[in-house]
Amino acid sequence: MTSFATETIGTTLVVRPLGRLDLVSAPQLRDIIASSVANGIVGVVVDLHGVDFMDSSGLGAMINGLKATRQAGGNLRIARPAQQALVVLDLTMMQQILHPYASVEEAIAAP
Amino acid sequence: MPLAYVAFIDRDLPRVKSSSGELPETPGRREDSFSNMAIQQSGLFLIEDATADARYSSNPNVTGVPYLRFFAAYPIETQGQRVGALCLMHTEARHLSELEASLLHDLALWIQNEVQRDADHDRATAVHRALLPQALPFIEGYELIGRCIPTLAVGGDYYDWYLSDGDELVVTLADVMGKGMGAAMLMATVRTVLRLIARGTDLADALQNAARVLANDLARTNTFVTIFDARITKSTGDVEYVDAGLGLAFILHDNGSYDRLPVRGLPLGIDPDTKWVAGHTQLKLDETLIVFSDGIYDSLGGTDDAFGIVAAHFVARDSLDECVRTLITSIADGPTSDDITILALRRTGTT
Repeated sequence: MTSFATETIGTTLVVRPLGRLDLVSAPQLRDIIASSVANGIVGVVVDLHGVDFMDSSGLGAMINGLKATRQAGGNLRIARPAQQALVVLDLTMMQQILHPYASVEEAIAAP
Repeated sequence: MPLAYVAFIDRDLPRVKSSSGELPETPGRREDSFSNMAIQQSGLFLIEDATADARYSSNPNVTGVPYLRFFAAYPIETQGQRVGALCLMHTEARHLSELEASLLHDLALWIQNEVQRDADHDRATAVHRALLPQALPFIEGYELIGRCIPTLAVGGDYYDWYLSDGDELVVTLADVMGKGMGAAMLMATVRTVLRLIARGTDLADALQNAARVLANDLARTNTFVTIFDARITKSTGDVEYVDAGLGLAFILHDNGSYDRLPVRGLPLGIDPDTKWVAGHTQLKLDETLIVFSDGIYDSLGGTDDAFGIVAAHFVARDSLDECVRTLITSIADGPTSDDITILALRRTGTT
């Protein structure tokens, strides 16, 4: 089972999925981001350090979150993807719109 | 000997499923079968004591093995047809309480839902298969193959090809995010749009048009689609291609080395303003264009080593069918959780 830890740092919600980010767990991530946006926290960082496998559904949940946060005037950034997630970002060309930051702090501070 | 079982009616006799092992009724005439009687009517079929009822007291299932006295059943329906029944029987007379009757009904409905879902899945699988090209076209100087094996009954992957007017062959491999029925419905939509729009125009323009048409559907369903689409000029081997976020296409040279196709862009459904650029390459004699889905990539370890592993299966000069078969067999041995799809086009030069 994938678990999700969340933490609010300043005005940013940091989500830390632990395990697989796939068809099964992606809806949870989507819900976490949606409720954050609904509560007015529109800056989101997904810390991928604990994600050992991410598929297109996991990527889809983050794209979804990116759209939702941007529509609300915020943004979604990702930090610390492992090799497998980096490969998925690269194959799909999504690093163009989801730039992987080396640390959560960098992701929060990014313009 | 209390017994519960599900009977499905065949053409002639009830076929017993999920019995505890013993044969509930002596094989005999259909009209003597209690499960068959249960299926002939709707709602609860109940006999509390068969020996006390003139309609059943001389039935061979009552007078002989299994010496049935109590029988209760609910029919199971699918697509408006009664196809079987959930049956309870006992060799002693007994009363069926209202609560027991309602439990039996609930169980029968549950089985009915399962049967219905199975029927839906079978039908969906058949439709999904029918949407893939059926026969390999004869293309002078080329050998072509495609395979798609969904993880579930249906999936979001597909491949397609068609011979356009004159000298051109178009091949496509696409992967709709997700799995199962939802992905398959979108896959059918994407396939239709690509087929309608891709003809006649520049490939990058065609993809742009397709993305525009699909934008709302993809946005509303929070889905994106990765696509590889190539147009091959048969006489020259010239390949024009677009890669929307798939990234899993390469050309295998006759010496066993390979080159990935480098021009790539975002998937459809991410950004409505995405502009794609077409790449150009050439398929020379004895070279093979190979495109595969991320299901294969992930099953082969999820690193770029996957290209080499796939390529190795195609180095042997066997038929493409054989190459694909050995590749898929090797994958099927390992853990697979995604649709497996591959498309390959070899320029043989001979006929």
